[in-house]
Amino acid sequence: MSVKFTLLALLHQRPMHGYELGKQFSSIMEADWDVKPGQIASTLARMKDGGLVDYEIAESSDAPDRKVYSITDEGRADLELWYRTPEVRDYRLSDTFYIKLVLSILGGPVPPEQVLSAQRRELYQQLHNVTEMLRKTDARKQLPWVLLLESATMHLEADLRWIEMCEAHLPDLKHYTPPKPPPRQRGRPRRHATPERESDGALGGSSEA
Amino acid sequence: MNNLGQMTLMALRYLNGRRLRTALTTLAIVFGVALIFAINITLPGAIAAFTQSLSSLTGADMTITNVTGASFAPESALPLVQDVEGVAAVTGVLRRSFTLPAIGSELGSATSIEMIGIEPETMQQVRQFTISDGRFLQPDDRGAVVVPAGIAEIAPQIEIGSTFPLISAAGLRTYTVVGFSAEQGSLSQPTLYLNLPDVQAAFGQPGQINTIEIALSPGADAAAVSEAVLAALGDTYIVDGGAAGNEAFAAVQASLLVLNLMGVLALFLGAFLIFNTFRTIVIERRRDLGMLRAIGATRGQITTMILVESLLQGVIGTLIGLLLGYLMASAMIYGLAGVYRSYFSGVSLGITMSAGAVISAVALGLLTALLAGYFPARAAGRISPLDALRPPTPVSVNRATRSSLIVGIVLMVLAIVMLLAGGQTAVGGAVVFLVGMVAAAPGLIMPLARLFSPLLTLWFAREGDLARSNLQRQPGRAAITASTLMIGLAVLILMAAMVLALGQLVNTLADRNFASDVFITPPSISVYNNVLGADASLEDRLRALPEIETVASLRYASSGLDGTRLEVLGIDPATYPQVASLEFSAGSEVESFAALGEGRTAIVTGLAASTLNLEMGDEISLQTANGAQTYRIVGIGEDILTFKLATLFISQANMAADFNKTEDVLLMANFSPGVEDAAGLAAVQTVMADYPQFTVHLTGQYRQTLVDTTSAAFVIFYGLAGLILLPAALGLLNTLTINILERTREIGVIRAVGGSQRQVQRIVTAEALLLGIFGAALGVLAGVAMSYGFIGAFSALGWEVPYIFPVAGIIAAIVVGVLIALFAGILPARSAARLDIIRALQYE
Amino acid sequence: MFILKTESLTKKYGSESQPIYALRDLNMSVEAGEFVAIMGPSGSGKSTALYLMGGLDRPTSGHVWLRDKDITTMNDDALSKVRRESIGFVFQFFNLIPVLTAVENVAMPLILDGVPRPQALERAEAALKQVDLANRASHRPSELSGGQQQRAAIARALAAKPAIILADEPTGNLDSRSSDEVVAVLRRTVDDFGQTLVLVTHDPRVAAHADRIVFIKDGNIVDENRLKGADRAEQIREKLGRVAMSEG
Repeated sequence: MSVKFTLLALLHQRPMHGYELGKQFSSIMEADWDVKPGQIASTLARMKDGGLVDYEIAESSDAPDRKVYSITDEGRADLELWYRTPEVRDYRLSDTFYIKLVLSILGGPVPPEQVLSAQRRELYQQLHNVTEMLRKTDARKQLPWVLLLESATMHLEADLRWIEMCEAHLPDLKHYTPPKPPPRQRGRPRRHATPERESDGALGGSSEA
Repeated sequence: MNNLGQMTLMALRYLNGRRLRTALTTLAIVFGVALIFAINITLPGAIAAFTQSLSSLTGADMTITNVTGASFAPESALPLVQDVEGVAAVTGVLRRSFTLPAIGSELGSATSIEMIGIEPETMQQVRQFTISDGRFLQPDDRGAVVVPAGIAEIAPQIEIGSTFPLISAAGLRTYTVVGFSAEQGSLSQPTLYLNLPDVQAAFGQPGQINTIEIALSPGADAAAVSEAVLAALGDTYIVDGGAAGNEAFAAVQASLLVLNLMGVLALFLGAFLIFNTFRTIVIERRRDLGMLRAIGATRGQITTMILVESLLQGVIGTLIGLLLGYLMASAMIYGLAGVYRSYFSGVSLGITMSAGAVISAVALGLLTALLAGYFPARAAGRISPLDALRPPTPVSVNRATRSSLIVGIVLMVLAIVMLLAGGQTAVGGAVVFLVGMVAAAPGLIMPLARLFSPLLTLWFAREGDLARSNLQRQPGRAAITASTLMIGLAVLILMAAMVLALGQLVNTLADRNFASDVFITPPSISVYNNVLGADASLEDRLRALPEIETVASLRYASSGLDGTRLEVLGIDPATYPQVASLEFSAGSEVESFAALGEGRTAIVTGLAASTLNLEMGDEISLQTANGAQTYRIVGIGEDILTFKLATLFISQANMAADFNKTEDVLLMANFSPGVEDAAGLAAVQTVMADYPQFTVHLTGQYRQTLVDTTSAAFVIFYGLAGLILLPAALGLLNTLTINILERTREIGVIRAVGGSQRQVQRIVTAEALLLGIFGAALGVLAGVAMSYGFIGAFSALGWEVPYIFPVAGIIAAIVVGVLIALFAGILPARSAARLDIIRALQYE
Repeated sequence: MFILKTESLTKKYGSESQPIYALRDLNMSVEAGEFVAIMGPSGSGKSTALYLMGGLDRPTSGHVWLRDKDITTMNDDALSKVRRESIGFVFQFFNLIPVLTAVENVAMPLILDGVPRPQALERAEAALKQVDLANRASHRPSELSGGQQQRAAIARALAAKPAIILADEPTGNLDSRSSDEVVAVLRRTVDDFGQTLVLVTHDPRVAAHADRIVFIKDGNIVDENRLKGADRAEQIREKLGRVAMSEG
């Protein structure tokens, strides 16, 4: 998640000082943001240097004077470009469970059926949890939160269907022999989280375990 | 029965949801009920009126008559009755109802009258007369008459002192009105009271009475008195018996039976329709019903639900049927009155409401609905709850049709064996054949469809195949529809064959009857009971004419043998063969007529021989006015006047001795050589002016008239066939409509992919036509079998009728079948073509 | 304490020589107030299991106990009575009687059971309220949306206050939004009224509402998943809601 564009988007609404920006971060999206005040300050400073934002000093009687930031035309253009650029989601090439499954098919102490089964139980538990959250959430008052939960639900659903597919394919996969060289190109796992977090990765213990 | 309320509600809503189908199905019930109701409010009324006119319904406590209805001498019976304990007063009466000549009556619209001869003094001890105007009869009155006060309504010119002529056995007589009785009574048959001698003279029965009326002592036990009277008189007499049986009665009763049978057949076809509809309904609602089972409805509840629905249709249909029946009865009376009168003159046709008629029509209507609904309802009860969850699956029919085909073929083979056996077995065979055809029909649909579709392709090149496969989808329904049409057409062929055969018979017999030059007939030639004939004066006067060479007469009495009614005709064996003859099947003209002159002998008709199991030379103990007498059978033969009835010919001498009858009811005469028809006729007519109860015919003309009237009566047969065909047409209409309702969505698809309105119309028309051809094909088969069976049965009745293959009937049946099909197809085809494509596609 | 229990439940089709097992020795039990989802690929026998539990069909062998009664040995009328009084069904195709209004449809099982019409309608109204359909009581099925029809069908299942409700793909014929509504209503009957509920579905989103998911394959249970209660809700919130930010 980009701190830079979040700040620009907020400033696009109205000029704000640094502390206000920090509060808005959390409240609008009804989520806990992994961002520190220092990070906000440094980002603002960098943007000021780049001419994306500007500030005025607001005098205050009961508090120290503050810098009230506002967006510049250049910043607005930059923000607009960001909005208009579609996001490319990474596929699960980096998914640990995927590796686990493929390896278990190739042979291991635990058969792939059980690997799938264990994963499925967890996915259902997560789906159950999200479903309950969703039931307890009022869509009219907490829309962003509902949207997020829906997204989680659908990804979980997709994962579950994928597991179903895998199960259906298992009888065929038993006879699968992996090609020797060259190694599977798309099979190399990446250990680090991508900027866009994937729902199951974010929620489930499995991929992080 | 809270459930029943709910089910009625649901049934009503379902019925309301498919109004057109409901209407068509209900019509089936309407029709049968209407027919039965119409018949039962007209004919029994006629019979009742008739019986009433004959039975001695008087104000007396008890009446005694001769068991044969014949007259007797008062001295032989009156004193015996007088002496019985409990009898307070006794009087002898001579009474008779008879038909008035159609023209020239002074009594307005009255078609017949009852004439009662009384002894005023003794009569007034037996019952009380109230005179509303004028005076009662005095013992020495002659030519005086007391008429009912109500007569003013039909003959306003009659008042005290007015005179009017009336027919009698010895020519016209004039009577003077002396009083009006306050007695109510039928205006179509007013009762006239006269002094006994006047009536005895009028009837040509001097010194005779035919009824004894009794007044009981106070507190006397009627049953005990009745027993004592019978003990005193012997079994030649009966108490309060009236004359329940008589020829017209039997004839009307027979037609009542036949007509009711037609009504039942119509209802049977109605049951077919309902069965068909409800089978469709059950298939349509398979899922609903399965759901109800799933949520806990028992089989019984489901069955009840469907039954309630069919019963509801039964109730609605029956109510409308009663109404329509009433209208039909009125129309029937209007339309049939002419034909009827020529045969059963004096039997008045009118509408008589009776609880019995209503109850029987209602019961039959409801029962039909219930019965027809029962099998689909039971099938509905067997629907598994799982049907609620499964997608509807097409019902497999192959096994069922195969087994019913086998059953049908077995039945038909059996039927053919029965048909060939002849006699009454043949009638059974005809019915079995029909049942076999109905059973086999579903199995025959496929092969027949294959057989006829090339024919269909001639007219409907592209649509024919589609129409055929549409029918084959529901072979059961197509079969039932075709069966309905089949029955209708089979009845048509049967009727045609019967008319053909009877016409043949009538012609053969007519040759025998009409050997004479002149035929002198009473108003009714089938019902002599109601006829006032003539005494010997007429025959004498005719014989005295120079233009006349021979005169022969028929006399009439009724009798019984082993509980079967017999008509007895008295002929003079010497003169009769000179003017007429009989068609003999045993014995011969010469020998039999000669034998008739010797001792107590009789010639019987074929019908009498077959019903009583009589043969030449048999001796029978015949009931007569003077006790049982033994007659020997000297011949079996009949003519056009008698072939429909169980009749005995005896000599007039024997009739006078045993039945106290000397009245001629029909005369035949031959002209002297050289006398022209016109001159002879004119001469006879001068004499007949005094006997207006008779009509004179030149035999040549009369023969034609008689044959024509008889044939006209056969029109009734065709009418009946028509009545059966109407529900068949309804059935066809119903099936086609249901087919279209079911396929609404399909028709939508056909239209959506580019089928024209005209093509859709042609598909439905082709379907109708195919059904019509099925029905006609089956109907021809069944009709031939049925007609063969029924006409075979004629011989069992003593009528030798050749079986003539009813070619015309078959052609008519095919044409009618196809026409009905095309006609029934018009509406459904049009509505199918006009379906809105979008709506049809969304139809569920 | 179980409400419903199956004992070696077996359903066999086909000939003796080549039997096809729709269900083979199925043993499972449903506790009071439990919401169980049965899942499995098509042809797994999950629907057969439900039908046998509801007495809609008869097993080849084995038993189904509804509380202390073995419904597999009952005659048809007794079984009908059990279905009427102790079991509520919800079907995929709603199966409402088209000529009856919503409330009349709901009252149907009560009326079949001999409850006088006014009382039956009153109780039906209450059941409709339970599924938020009180304002549609006098509408005919054709005037209701799919979701509304299914909720009416649920009300019908609830009306007789059955021991258990059996639902066969209740959302199979609905769009996802109506589907959510319908499952939410079902879940609520469990949470608010302690209703016991068994549901067959192939939709993970529907199954996720259940307390337990039973996976059936080839006529028998292959896996079972007891889902933990809502105490973990805050955990999700935490996990879902923590958005990692990076600069630029």
